[in-house]
Amino acid sequence: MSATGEHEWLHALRNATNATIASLAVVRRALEQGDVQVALTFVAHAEAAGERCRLLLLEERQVAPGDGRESPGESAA
Amino acid sequence: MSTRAFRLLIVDDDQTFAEAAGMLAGQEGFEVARAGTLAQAHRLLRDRRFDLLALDLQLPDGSGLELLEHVDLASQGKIIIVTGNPSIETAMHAVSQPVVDYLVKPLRPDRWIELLRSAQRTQPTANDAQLMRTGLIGRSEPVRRIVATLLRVAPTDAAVLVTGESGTGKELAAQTLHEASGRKGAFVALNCGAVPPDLLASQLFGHERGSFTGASARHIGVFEQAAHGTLFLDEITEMPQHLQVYLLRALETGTITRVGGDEAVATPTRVVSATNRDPLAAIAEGRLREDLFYRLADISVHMPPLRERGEDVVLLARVFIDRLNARYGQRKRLAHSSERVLLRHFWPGNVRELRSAVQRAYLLDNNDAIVVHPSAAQPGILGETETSVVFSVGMTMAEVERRMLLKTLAHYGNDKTAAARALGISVRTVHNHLARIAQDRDNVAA
Repeated sequence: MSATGEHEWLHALRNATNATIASLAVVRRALEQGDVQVALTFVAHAEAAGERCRLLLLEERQVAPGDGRESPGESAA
Repeated sequence: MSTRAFRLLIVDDDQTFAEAAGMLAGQEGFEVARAGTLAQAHRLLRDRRFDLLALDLQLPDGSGLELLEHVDLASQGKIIIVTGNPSIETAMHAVSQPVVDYLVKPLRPDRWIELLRSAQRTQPTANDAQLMRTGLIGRSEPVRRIVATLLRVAPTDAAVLVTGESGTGKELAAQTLHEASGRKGAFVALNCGAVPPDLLASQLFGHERGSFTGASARHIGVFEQAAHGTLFLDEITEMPQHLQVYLLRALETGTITRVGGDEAVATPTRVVSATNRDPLAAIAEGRLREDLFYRLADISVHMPPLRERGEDVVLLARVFIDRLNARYGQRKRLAHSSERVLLRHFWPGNVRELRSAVQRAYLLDNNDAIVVHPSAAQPGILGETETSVVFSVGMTMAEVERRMLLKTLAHYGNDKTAAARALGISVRTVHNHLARIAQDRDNVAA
């Protein structure tokens, strides 16, 4: 991955992680307040943002295989 | 001052984060707006003022830094940069702006909440540039808070009631509101206590020709004179009750009817009123209608007395001397020894009293370094009688003792023995106090 590409990838990963964490913070608050509907909405947001993280990490693995960043289990697979 | 929700603008193209961050902020009492692009942010910032701006740097139509270049940051609130793409360049740029924090994503939710609460705790105060835009002279925190409030409220249609002792600058506050409002009409002031009650209706609303004896021509009242501008009604509690009813109606309908006329005239006039009385006490005493008070006081601003403005008194004295120098072509300055005296004086007449004391000293003192003596007689201290003394928080013990001693001596015809007995101190202590007071005066004069 080029330096620019890696920069953009890291930016996207930071954004996706950030969105996941923020959404889960809302979920926690909503559950504390007994607002299941809001909690479910933001669980869905967290899931979507988590999926973005997964895809970004997968993209990294595919672009730079064998650079030591994938888990031992994935390397063996 | 009346409270309203703190306004937060989140500028971030990550909708999921913006929605979640906005949700958390909403639960903290913020009124939240979101923008996903620079263009949207510009539009929102043009129309409204925000207390807090959470700004992502990398946006679809440009860098968030561009927003910092084009927004009048002085009139907006605090800024938090929230970026997923941190760099030394952007961090360096941020520190040159009123940015309160530079956060790198992913950020901890508890840190976000902490920043929101911190922003709510900190009352906005005006910076030096804002102070320069107004006629209010001062650097003290009370003045900064007032200027920040005035500049925030100025562009709105809110009716503002300015309270404060005589001489604290209530009309200046009203002028500041008008000048910062962008209103194209005139600023017109009317002192309701200075116009005979019989003429006040005509002054306010105007009259038609022949409406009463002597009305030889149509007269346009101050409401119409200030159309699209600001009408400042000073001493509002002195307005007769029956006129307060008409004023309330004019404010609620946005129209007036001239005395002797039957045509409703639209008056898009912003009203700023003022009183040196406690408005709630005035309501209780029947001087001010309660319904009118609520209509006049969308926002209430209290002008602090000079004695609560700390070093402002010295700053003001210097400004008055500079103005006199400009007028008389001289180069006088405030004697260093005067500063302590100015700071210790109670200033019952506030800035008006200070201006008068400076002018008196300027004209009578032949030296370049002029010594300002506050007036020995202090008429009009609110609540004082010949047998009572009013003290306020912030007065020094020395001042409290001085005032008590002098008042007691005056009451007993300068009989030191009687005064000492009344005060429960020895005659020698009375003499010692008087010697100290005399010494202080000598120090000032030296």
